[in-house]
Amino acid sequence: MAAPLALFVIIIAVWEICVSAFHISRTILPRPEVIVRQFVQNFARDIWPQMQFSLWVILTGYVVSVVIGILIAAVCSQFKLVTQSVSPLIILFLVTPMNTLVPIFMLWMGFNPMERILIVILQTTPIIALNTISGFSKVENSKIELMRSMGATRVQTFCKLIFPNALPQVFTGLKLGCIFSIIAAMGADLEIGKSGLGYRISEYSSLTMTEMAYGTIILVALMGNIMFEIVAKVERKLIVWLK
Amino acid sequence: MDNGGKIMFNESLFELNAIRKQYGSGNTLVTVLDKIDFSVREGEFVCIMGASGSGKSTLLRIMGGIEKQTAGKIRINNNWYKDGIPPMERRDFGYVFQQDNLLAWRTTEKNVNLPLEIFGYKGKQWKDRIAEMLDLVGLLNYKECYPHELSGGMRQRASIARALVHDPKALLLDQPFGALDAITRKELGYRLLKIWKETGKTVVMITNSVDEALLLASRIIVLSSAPAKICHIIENDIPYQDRDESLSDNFEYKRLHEQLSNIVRGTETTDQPEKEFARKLA
Repeated sequence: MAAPLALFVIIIAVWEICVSAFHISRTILPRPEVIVRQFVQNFARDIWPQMQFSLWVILTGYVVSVVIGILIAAVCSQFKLVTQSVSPLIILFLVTPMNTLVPIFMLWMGFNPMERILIVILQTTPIIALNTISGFSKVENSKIELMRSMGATRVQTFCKLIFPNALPQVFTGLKLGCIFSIIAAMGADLEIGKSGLGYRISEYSSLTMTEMAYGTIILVALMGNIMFEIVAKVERKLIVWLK
Repeated sequence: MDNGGKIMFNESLFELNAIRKQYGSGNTLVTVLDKIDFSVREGEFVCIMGASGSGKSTLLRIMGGIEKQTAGKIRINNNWYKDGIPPMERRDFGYVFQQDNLLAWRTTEKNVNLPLEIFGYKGKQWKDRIAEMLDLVGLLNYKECYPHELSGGMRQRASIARALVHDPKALLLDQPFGALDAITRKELGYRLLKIWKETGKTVVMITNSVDEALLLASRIIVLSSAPAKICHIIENDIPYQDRDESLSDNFEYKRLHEQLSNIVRGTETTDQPEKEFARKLA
């Protein structure tokens, strides 16, 4: 805890010094002190409602992605043919930048908030699914034979061996999913506009309210960090057996 | 069980008849086991030896239901099976693998509990058995530990406890001590002997150590190299009460040791796979 905090303080200090020393214009790089002051001032009125909205989009999208992603992986792990046919599709979704698909969705759904959740799901589910599939397939042969020596059913083998064995890999996917869902939500905000923290950032930029723009960006980054840490904490609680 | 130190056995627990195992097909057909016939009597301790790669593991896996035989039949509980041992029958066996096969995310206690979960054995008397088996292998104090916190020898002991917890008729062990150092190996050999005497289970164990076979087995089966047949069956008549740390001084032991070592080294292989016979020097 102390080390990142110390680094953070150093960065802020260097930032302040550079802006003053090099006379950097506030429209390019504002001073940290001004950022904090203005941000706190405008928080309740401008930021908080949008933050609630974005949180709702991100968290709903994330939770649904986790469920769908793991389900897809579970089905794939049982049928090799399904994995072969579905994998390229998953990677396709992963690779396509959402900016290209968003306008198409807007044609279908207009400004429906559900649209943003859909975009989050489309970006987050693939990464969770791929990591989980990978986890499910990396089982030692000797462990499979152990189950066979007892005549375990497919379901028993899945619940008692394959799933617990995959947990470390599943959590890698879950942590990456945090990151992807925030990026997707912000990207959707930028394209669709009207609400959300991403939209606020682009609005502040166009109004040259650079301090607020920076402040909001930092806020989003902090949200991502906290989300990641929560998942990492759950991981540490569940995965006690790895040294 | 004891009769002046010599063990008497009753009927055969299970029987293998003309077992063959082949892999691949056409040009790539490999015959690992050619024609294996033998029966295991209840309560005896059988050791299977042979050159490495001779199919010993394959044979044990077929016996344990992990693999299916290509031809031949197996009899357990008065039923003959031609296509591998079905899942229900496998609960009569406890299998111990070469490298410890514990699930890393379970404590020792939960690892030993695994067969009970799979077979659906519920109730207090089964739960008590877990502690009983852990005590039998000397791991009662370590039941809350995870596998990575145990030594190799301890993990194998836990595997043995797991293989016994569901009260199987037979214990199948595939070179269980091969990955351990010499001292631990000897210790575990004595411990296994003690467990066998106390539980009276039928044991079939693969080993590559002549010392181990002569310490533990009442009968030793030697397989030829692939396509494997049984090329020797040796009765180990050393009384069990003489089998302790002073065993290496025993005259019969030294004689059998030399004989068995020669056999395994392949200098004394003969070609009589179909007959079952006992060899005694006049």
